[in-house]
Amino acid sequence: MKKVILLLLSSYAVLTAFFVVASALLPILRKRIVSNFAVGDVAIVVAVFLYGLFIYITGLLLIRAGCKDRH
Amino acid sequence: MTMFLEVFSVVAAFAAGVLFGRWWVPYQKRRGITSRDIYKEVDGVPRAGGLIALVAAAVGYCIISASVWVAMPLFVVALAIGLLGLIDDLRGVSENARVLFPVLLAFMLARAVDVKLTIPAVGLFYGATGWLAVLAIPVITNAFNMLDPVNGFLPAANVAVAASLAAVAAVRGQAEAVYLLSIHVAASLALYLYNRYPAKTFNGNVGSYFLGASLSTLAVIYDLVPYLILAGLPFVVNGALIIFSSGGIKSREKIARPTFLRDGVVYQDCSSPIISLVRVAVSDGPMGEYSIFKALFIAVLTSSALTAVFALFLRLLGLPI
Repeated sequence: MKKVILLLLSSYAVLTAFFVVASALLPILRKRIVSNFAVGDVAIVVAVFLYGLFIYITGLLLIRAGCKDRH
Repeated sequence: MTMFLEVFSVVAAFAAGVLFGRWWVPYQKRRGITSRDIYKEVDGVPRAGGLIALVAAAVGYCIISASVWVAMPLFVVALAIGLLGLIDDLRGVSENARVLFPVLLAFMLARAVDVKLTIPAVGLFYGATGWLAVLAIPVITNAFNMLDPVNGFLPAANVAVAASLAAVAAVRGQAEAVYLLSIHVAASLALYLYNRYPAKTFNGNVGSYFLGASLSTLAVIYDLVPYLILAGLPFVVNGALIIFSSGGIKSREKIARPTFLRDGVVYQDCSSPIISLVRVAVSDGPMGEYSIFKALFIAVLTSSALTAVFALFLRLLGLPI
């Protein structure tokens, strides 16, 4: 249970940190690239990938600790 | 008068779900629509109980549509995806249909209603993010389907997440969203009565698909997608863990379980490359079914409560909600 809560809270903190960073970069995120697409649209796609990677690496570290003495 | 209709739709949804369940659960048993409860080593447990939530929400959404027109497109999308899940439970559906059908419906919804994506504390990019928001429908529907591991968890989690979104909508002043989310809560509660430990019926794909589609469509229509992701973060985390550890999006049948069962207790399989939230939970130590339910439910309660507080915090700071 502790590891689930740890993973959840760290994921929650990183996601809200993304929002804070995005609010500071808002003028850049609103710049248009082509037609309806803004820098923010690209940033969201990149952020989603990085966020998934963060969750995976954190999860991997947590389960590895539990496998050290077991098979 | 209007308020009466709103309250009545919620009560009627719950009552319809409970009454329907009294017929549907034994009917499934009689017709052999059952599967094995691996934790309790019991055969013959009805496997498509999620239809209870679908029927309950159908009654609620149809009643409230007299005053909230958006209940109808919401119900049509959720019904279509829920029925896909029911067909999958009864006959099986191809992997492509499972993925592409919700995507197709999501883009049809994007054309039918004005979709926006307001990022908490940020606001709007005024780009194409509205279109990205509709992808929440296939993403959340599949995320719900990927995390339905133990008795009672999925409907209980839906109660917590929908209540959290209702609190956010209340902070924003979106009364209609609060009413519709209350119907979702009532439908989830009706299903919980039959799915709670020890379950009289499993939810099946019809349950996870319908509840996922109902909640995510509501979130898309009322611009609540980021809050759905925050409140339902355990589902998102589980989905990300499975997708990244299995090397891409694959059907559930093609992904080997990263845990194993011995004498009713779940252990992590250290030889498996797959990671799931249940595996993270049992990596602390082996757990029984009810302990897993408690761990996962506490996680959902935590993310749901944090999200309601987060919205209130943004309101107090005068930031975009």
